[in-house]
Amino acid sequence: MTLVLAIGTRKGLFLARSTDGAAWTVEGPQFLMQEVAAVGFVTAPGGGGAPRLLAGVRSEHWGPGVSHSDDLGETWVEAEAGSVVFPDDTDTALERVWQLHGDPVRPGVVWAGCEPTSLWRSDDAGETFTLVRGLWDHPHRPWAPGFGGAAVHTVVTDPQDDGRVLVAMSSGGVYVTGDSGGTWAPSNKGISAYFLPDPYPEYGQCVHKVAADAAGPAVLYAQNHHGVYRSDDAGATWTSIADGLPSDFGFVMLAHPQRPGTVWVLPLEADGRRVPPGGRLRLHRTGDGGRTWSEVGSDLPDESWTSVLRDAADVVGTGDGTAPLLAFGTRDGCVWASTDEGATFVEVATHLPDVLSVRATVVA
Amino acid sequence: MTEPGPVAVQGVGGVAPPPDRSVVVVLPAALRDEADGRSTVTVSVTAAPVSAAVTVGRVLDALAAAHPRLERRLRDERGTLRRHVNVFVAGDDCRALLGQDTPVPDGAEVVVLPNIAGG
Repeated sequence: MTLVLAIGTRKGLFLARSTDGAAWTVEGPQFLMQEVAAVGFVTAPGGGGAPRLLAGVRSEHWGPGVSHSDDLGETWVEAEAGSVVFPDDTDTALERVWQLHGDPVRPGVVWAGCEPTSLWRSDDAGETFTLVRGLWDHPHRPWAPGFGGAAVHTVVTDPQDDGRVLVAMSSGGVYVTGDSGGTWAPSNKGISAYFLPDPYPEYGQCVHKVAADAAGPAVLYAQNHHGVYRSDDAGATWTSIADGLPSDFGFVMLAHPQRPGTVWVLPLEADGRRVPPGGRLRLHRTGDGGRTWSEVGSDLPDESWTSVLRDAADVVGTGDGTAPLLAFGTRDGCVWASTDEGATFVEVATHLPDVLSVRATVVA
Repeated sequence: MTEPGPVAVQGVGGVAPPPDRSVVVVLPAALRDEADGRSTVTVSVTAAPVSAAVTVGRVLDALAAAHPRLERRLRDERGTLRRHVNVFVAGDDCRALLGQDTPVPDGAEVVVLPNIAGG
């Protein structure tokens, strides 16, 4: 069994491997001088074997696209006619791929969240994507851009209902479809937008990340632009679970892949102070769905004036009865991994370019 | 003298259209993987309509037909030249001329160069 981390950075892609979670080897960079804002492991065509690795790559010169590798980064292919290409009638050009989400129960289906704010669906395991018109044509569009741009940055699918998909965007908030993307409704009730005249609008919230509980997406967790929330009704309503955290600001939201109620966040001090509280880089974990929180990661640095972006963290199961692999990367190029639910961390890499995206997988 | 009609084709009594024009596109090192390692690609720009000049845009259209992924590196899906891609015709930056409407004279090469960008 090999643990693999795909690490997308401002200047290329790195791959880290370990057989024990303690000793790691790091290879790269690939796509040198190109930004890799999204990476994803998805089921390879035909199933079995190694997963397919997807990379949302953007060159400052040559533009954005999605490349795929079926040999864990040895070789890469990008569709000849383009992977994510806006149709002519939209008079729009792709800026950046922010999210690559392989549907866990429908092999071959991959969702891409992109800038400008759009959702795309692939039925060929991430080689080519089709614009989801229902969201693109939504009367609420265009949504206001967040600081990093206007994009769909989160896609949550439902293993029990293939028509149901949740997206989150900054800023716009959460939207949900129940008909495979044909129609979409905002789903932000209870989430604050303190930066707007009406702090509880129908939409316009700056939701940073949403994760589904291990029991299924009826229970959701959201890290907001100030605010940490839980929903017990698939996003219809949200309630704060921020009590007990040192700050309700941050970008990361990770849910345990197997154990319901277990979630990690990585607090930053505040909107205007985007560094770990007091410089202490720590995760906070709840085991009871957000009622109580505990600081974890005692061996993480106490003097860290960096931040962790929304997709620069991941958690993946490593098998029944064993702790998941938890990993994250910082904007100052450090990558950390834990195989004991965040209690302790190993420094996988240092001095990389700023880490934009991290995804973990386990291969035989 | 009357203009040739739309059905005028060579050998049917009309005016023969001029032959297609071959234009050499010179690529920077970063894009040669998209052209089987070559530093130049020769594209054939269709002559019709007769009155149309061969322009940078038409050269890139021809490039798109033959090498779509390579052309996508130069222009986005709206056909807009990417911000940090420069195209020179006979030594002049097409942005300082007529952009993609810049004529490409007989024998002139089209040279693609990346602008200074990034950090």
